[in-house]
Amino acid sequence: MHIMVCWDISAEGDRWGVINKSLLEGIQTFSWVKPLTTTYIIRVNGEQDRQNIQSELLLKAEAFSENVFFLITPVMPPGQYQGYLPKSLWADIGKRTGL
Amino acid sequence: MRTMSNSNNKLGVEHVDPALGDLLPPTSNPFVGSANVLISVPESIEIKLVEAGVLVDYEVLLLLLQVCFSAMVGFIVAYCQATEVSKRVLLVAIFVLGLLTVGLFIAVCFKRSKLYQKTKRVPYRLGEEVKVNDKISNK
Repeated sequence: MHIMVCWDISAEGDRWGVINKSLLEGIQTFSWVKPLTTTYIIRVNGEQDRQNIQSELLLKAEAFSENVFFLITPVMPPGQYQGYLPKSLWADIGKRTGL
Repeated sequence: MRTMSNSNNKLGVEHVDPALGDLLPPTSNPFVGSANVLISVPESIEIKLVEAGVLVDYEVLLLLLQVCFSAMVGFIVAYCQATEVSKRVLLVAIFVLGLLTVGLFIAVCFKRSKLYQKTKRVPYRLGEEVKVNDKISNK
C-alpha cells in the first residue's frame, strides 16, 4: 500500500529550502520516491501510517508563518503509475506501489 | 539520488530523490502491462459482530437438541420392534426424551432470535478504520 503526498510552500530561496527540509523530516521514517518537485510516493503499512504522516506534516506546516499547503491521498492498493519520468525512477516507484 | 538514513537502515527505509543524482532520459513506465496482477476487492463489506456468550449458549443447546432427538428416534425404532412387555418402558423413555427435545428446540429458537437481536453490523470500507459507534445492546 502507498500514499502520495504533495505540498506547496509560499516562500522563496533559502526560506523555501528550510521549510521543505522540515516537511521532509515528517516522512523520513518511510520509504519514499520523489517523481516531481514536492511530490512524494510513500510506502505505508496502512491507515495508521497515513494518520501519523498527516499529524507530522500538520505540525511542521503550522510552525511556519508562510503558507504551507499539503495534500495526502487515501491509502491506495498496489497499482502501476503512468507518466513520463526518468527511466530509473520507474523501478523505484514500482517498489513502493507494487505488491 | 538514493539516501538511507543511518537509523533507518535496518528497516530498509530508502529515499529516492532524483534531484541528487544523474538521471536517465525520460520514458513512459516500462513496467506497465508486465506481470500485472489484478485483485478485485469489494468497495465495502459488512462485518457481523455477535456476542460470544449467547453464541456459546446457542451452540451447546443445539448440540444437546441433536443428541436428544437422535436418542428419541432410536427409542421410537426400538419401540416399533419391541414386544408388548418392554413397550411400556420404551414409551416412557420416548415421552421423556420428546419433552426434552421440544424444550430444547424452544430454547434454541429463543437463543437464535436473541443472537440476531444482539448482532451488530459494522460497515467496513477499504483503507478506512472500522468504527463501532453503538455498544451492543444488552437486551
